[in-house]
Amino acid sequence: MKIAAAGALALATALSACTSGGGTNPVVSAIWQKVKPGAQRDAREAEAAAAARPPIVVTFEKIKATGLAIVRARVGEDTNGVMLYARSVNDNYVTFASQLQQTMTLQGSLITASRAIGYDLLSLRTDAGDPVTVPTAPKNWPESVTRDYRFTGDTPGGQLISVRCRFKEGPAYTLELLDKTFETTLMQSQCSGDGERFTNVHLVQDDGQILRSAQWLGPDQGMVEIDILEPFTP
Amino acid sequence: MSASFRQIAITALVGFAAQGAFAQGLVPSFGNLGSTGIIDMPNAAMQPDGETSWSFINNGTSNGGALNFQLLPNVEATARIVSLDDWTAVGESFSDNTLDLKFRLLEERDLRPAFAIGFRDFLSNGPTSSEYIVASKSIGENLRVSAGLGWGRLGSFNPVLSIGTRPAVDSELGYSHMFAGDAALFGGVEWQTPINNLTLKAEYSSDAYTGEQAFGDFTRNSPFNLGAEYRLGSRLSLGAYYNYGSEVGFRVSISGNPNQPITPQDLGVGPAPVNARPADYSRDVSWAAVPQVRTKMVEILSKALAEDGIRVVEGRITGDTLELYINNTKYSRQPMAVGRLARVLAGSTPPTVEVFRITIMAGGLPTTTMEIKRSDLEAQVDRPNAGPDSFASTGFSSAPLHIAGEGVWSPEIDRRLTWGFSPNIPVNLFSANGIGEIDLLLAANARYRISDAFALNLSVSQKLLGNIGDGALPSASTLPHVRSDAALYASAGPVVTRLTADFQTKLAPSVYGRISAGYLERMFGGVDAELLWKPATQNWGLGAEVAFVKQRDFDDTFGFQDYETVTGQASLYWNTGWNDLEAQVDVGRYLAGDWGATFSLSRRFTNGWEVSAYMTLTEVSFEDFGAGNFDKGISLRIPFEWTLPFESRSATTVALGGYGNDSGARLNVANRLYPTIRGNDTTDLYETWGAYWQ
Repeated sequence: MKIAAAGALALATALSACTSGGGTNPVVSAIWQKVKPGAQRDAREAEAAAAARPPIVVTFEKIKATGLAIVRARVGEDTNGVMLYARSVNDNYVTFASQLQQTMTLQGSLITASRAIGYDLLSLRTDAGDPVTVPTAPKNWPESVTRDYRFTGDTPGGQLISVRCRFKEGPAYTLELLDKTFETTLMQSQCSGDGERFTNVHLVQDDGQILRSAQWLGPDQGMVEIDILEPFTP
Repeated sequence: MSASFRQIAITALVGFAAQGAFAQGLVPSFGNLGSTGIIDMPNAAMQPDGETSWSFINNGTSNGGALNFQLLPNVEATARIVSLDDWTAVGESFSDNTLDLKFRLLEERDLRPAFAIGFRDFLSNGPTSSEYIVASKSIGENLRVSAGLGWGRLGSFNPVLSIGTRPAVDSELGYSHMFAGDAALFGGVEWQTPINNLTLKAEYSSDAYTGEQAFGDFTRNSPFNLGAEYRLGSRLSLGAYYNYGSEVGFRVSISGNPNQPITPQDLGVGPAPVNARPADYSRDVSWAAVPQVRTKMVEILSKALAEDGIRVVEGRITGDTLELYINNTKYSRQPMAVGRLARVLAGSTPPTVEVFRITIMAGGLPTTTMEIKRSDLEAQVDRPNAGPDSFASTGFSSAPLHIAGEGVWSPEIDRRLTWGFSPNIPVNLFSANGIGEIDLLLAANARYRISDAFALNLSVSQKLLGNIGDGALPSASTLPHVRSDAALYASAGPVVTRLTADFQTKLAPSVYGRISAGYLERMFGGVDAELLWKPATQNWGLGAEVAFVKQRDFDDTFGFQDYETVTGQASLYWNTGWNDLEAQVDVGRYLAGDWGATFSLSRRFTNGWEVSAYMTLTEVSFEDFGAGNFDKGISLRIPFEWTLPFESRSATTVALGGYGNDSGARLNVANRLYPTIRGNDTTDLYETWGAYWQ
């Protein structure tokens, strides 16, 4: 009886998103792609072909040659990261998009919005002079700033989480990024407010340029790591 | 190197978090009745806002199920159906359908305990009816003590005071019994043990269990009850109890929260980036002078939008304005569809087009027109205050039936035939065999559009498994059996639950109309007409509906029985705009010919979850009402998007109550106007506007 119930529920659920307008349930499609005749053979052949191809080596020279501002983002357990390219600009806010149109908006090096990479960060407002938004030498970073995060909620402004972020200078850090090595300073911003506590970490060059950063995108999304491979210049 | 950086980041994160680590502490848990409490006794604790739980309960003297819902942050509602063993005689149980409410008056602060007032079997003086006031105080993070004063059942053991006389139990609607008669003290303690997720409980009960001891062999030996709760993750909890010094009980609860989807919602494709037009963009509008160019532009645009689940129904472009009537078939929140559409338009229309006038359709009817200025969009996009700014700069109005003016493009009806499947889970709480009859049905729905306004609809239902109708006998109700024979309709199937011709239109921008004829629902066929006045910028509306119907045969797919009637209601709809609450009052003549009113309150969450509670009062006497007393119930609508990692507008509904009552029974029409269009008024759009930029 339990098996029959589970089977019936699975059938009902699978068919529930199967319509003339919406095509087949994506879950069903994904399962079918895995189990259909020849699927495993196709997968093995694809893996073998991929292994035979020489690895693509990304260098700063190649990045520069594109003429595009580029960042690389890593979410969760992802180790390779996804390249995002500058696609739109509104004043100081630059939106980068991946090939799958997952997007991140950056004000300087501060992620102020994200779309389609999990739980969206609707927007982020910070104080003028936030050193993550404007290149600032580590010794000149202010003591603290206030940041207002907005997430999906029951109003046009969404749910507000306001935090106070205090900056703290850490040790020097040698960063190997693509084909180059950089001397950086580890800067922490310890943020708390509205029941949330988190720490963003930035690797900052002497001229204030942030090369790598781990930033909090919300209570559900958690941390996202980005490399600024080619900053946006107006 | 990346891993090294992560280690640094994680070390920093953990180090900081450790400065102010919060212990898990004691979380609000369910009692033996499926509502937040100790064991049989209540406390002043509340579940997280929106928390919804199904509980299956057995405490030695009764068994059943409960749907518990945190209606508001300080209001908890519980619909419960229990079978009280040996209630009227040995071997004869009593099926009790109750609605409990608990209001937290004061939250716990520093030295002040939380205070709550509660009602079991609200507005009904039934076997479990009781009222109480209770205070709860946390001592440290792992201990909570509660003490209260109860009336009714909760005042039946060792009363300490008496206020007037409490009427005898009669299950009738009323309030004179509330806080009347003997009152007794109760209390208890809950302790979060060092073992993760294990809570131990003990209570002193003020319930004498008099009714349970009148017949049968149950004996209450002690006022002390003991219990243990173990939580398996955040969704499942198990309770075991030793009650009354003689009985063992248990509870299983499955929980969910519409505010906390269990899978991420946005793993799809993000919105199109928007760049502002250059200051020196071409002002040439000569293209707009050629009608063929204009219609071709809309046609091409509509094909592109169809790829993203937005179907253009009508469109018209001029040199400076683009008007579109759209069907959103993909995004669960309308502002998300509108926002994404506006972004696409900003990147694909001639730069002289400054105004986007977008009308969202619902069930083939144009509802609300949103006027968005392209320059506003360009200025607001990706900025911190974009949400409030965009809502403030968007114009909202009621849409006319069609776009006015010449050069309107509309596609051929490219999908005359549409179809789909959906699961349905009816619950029968008043079966002849006891409680807990439930079916799992798979419904196939098809729609053939003859024109934009006129369509044929077919729904066929197939029972996959379940026990509704097993051994069902004709009802003994003294009223026309308009619902009490429902179980006799629950044949194995497939059954035609709907076969109708439906015409809907707008008589004015704010006035909607509908006529349906055919087999309107599983039990009735006939003709049903409806009018609705609901301006898009107004949070309330008025409706009127009248139908001539005839009762369908139990087994003959297209046959009718002799019973026929005229039924109809006048309705007031009010979207309060407060905590997603909507109120509805329907007054009129019901299917059995009885006159009365239905009061409904529902909470529709941003993500599509909807919980509704209703109460119906009619002229029919309580003696004739059949099972229960006045009709009341609660239903829960769950969109599948909640459990799926992609946008989907599919949903299923589970209901407790309202099954099998002849009095207060309303025609079950699938396409009533207000539910069709209600998600598109400015109150709703305001609440979901955060998705505009998603």
